[in-house]
Amino acid sequence: MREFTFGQYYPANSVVHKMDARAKLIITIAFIVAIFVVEGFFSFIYVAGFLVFAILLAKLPIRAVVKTIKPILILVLFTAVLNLFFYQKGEIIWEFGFIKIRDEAVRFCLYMAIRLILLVMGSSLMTLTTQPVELTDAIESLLTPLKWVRFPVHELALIMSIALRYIPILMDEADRIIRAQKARGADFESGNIFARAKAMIPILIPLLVSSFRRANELADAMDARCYSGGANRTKFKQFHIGLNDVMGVMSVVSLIMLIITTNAVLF
Amino acid sequence: MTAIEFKNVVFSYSEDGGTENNIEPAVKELSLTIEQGEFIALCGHNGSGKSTVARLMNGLLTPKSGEVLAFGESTQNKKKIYDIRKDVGMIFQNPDNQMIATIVEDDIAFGPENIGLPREEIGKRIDFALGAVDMLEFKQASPYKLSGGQKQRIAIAGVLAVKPKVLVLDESTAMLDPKGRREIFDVIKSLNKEGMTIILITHYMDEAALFDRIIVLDNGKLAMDGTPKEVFARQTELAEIGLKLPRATKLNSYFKENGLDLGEVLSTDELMEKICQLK
Repeated sequence: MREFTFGQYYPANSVVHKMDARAKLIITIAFIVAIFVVEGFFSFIYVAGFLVFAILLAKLPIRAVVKTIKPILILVLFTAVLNLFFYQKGEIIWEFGFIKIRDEAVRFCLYMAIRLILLVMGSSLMTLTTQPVELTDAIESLLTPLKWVRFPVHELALIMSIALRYIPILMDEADRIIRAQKARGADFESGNIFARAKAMIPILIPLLVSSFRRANELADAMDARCYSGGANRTKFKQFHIGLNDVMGVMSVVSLIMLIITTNAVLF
Repeated sequence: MTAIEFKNVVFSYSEDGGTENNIEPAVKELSLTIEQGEFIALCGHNGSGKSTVARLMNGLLTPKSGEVLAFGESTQNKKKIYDIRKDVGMIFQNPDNQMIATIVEDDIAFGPENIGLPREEIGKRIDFALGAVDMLEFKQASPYKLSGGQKQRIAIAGVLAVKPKVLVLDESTAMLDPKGRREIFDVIKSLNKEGMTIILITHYMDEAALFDRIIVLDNGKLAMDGTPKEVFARQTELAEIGLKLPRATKLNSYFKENGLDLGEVLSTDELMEKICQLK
């Protein structure tokens, strides 16, 4: 199985790993809100402090969390540079031909970069400490009120967990097809981008056909195991809200309140 | 007690029953009775209709005419379909395509959850089912890391957790290596000893030889039905249908032609023993 490192589950025996997935989901969303509530540079110290504390509590190596920023670094740099040139408020502090850089723009870019990095690290912390299945269960549980408006909550959660289950299987299948096509003389490396994209067709079509076949067989297997939708169904795994979950939610709420107070005092 | 009964069953994958478009029905006027506790191999060449027959047993497919009864209930009765599927469990060919969860325990829980069992009972059923296939230590494992035979045993456990009376295995050993095949055979043999009806669909006659009763289908019709000895005695007919004799039986008949009579032989072990007893 190929590793997909972007926030993949990192097993460890910690308080954070054992927390209720719903609490972790709520805390993460609240944490993201907190990041965007910040107005002064000073408040970022609280947010970063909160994050570092959570990472230590989760017994994760800091490097594993920092590594998750890598895939978005280019995006961060790109938005920062773009904002630096085009942000229109504030005094011009540097000018060269048509390029004008304003002091407000520098501040804005810095904030944006810090926000993005904190956002990715925060949400990775959740996926690093929570099994994908727990996460889909949590989403199902949190969306339960939507059943009142006939939103198919159970079906959505089931689709998500099946999709997660089949990612490694389909990756293996793709690998197998690539090897089979290479053995028949397919060339995936040479040519320009269009030629290479076209060379992908003999991989994508068998993969698509086989996933339909798999889906069909899975549907039969689910039928055979008495699946009849979400109604009258019980759940084996149940959530238990513990003291740690309450404390976690309370601490993130206090973080937001602290930031709001700081904003009010400083501005 | 009769477990499954086919009464003049006709099934076709085309809408009009196969009269137009020259699509032949996959199953033609099939009548068959399976008693509770039997140990059956259902054989046939590709396209003989054996998988269709399997899917007719638990109402995944329903007959175009005729009737399939599972424990006296017609599979066409929509109100009873979940009771029938609870009684007639089914395992498919590819273990990867019948698991829905990423943890063994959660996958086994799927069936019991569907029939609405209480939580404590589901926990007991998981232990019971994993125990029956000797996979208890893999309760928290990810199916992805298991071997083919182990995965198929998990699939069987997933069905056992619903406590069916009949287990239909649709070519469930076809993708396995000899070791995995052996594992599955041992599991279903011990389930049969405890009274469960087993129907294994296969085109591999060495495997069929190990069962009590062999049903041979050809072109959607019943071609043979009897004990392995009775079925393998009809060598030329089997060859016409496109089924190979088990290796042991074939070797034995070759011996007989050349003047060495060892009597009836069904398995390689049996043949080996008889050869060893020769002086």
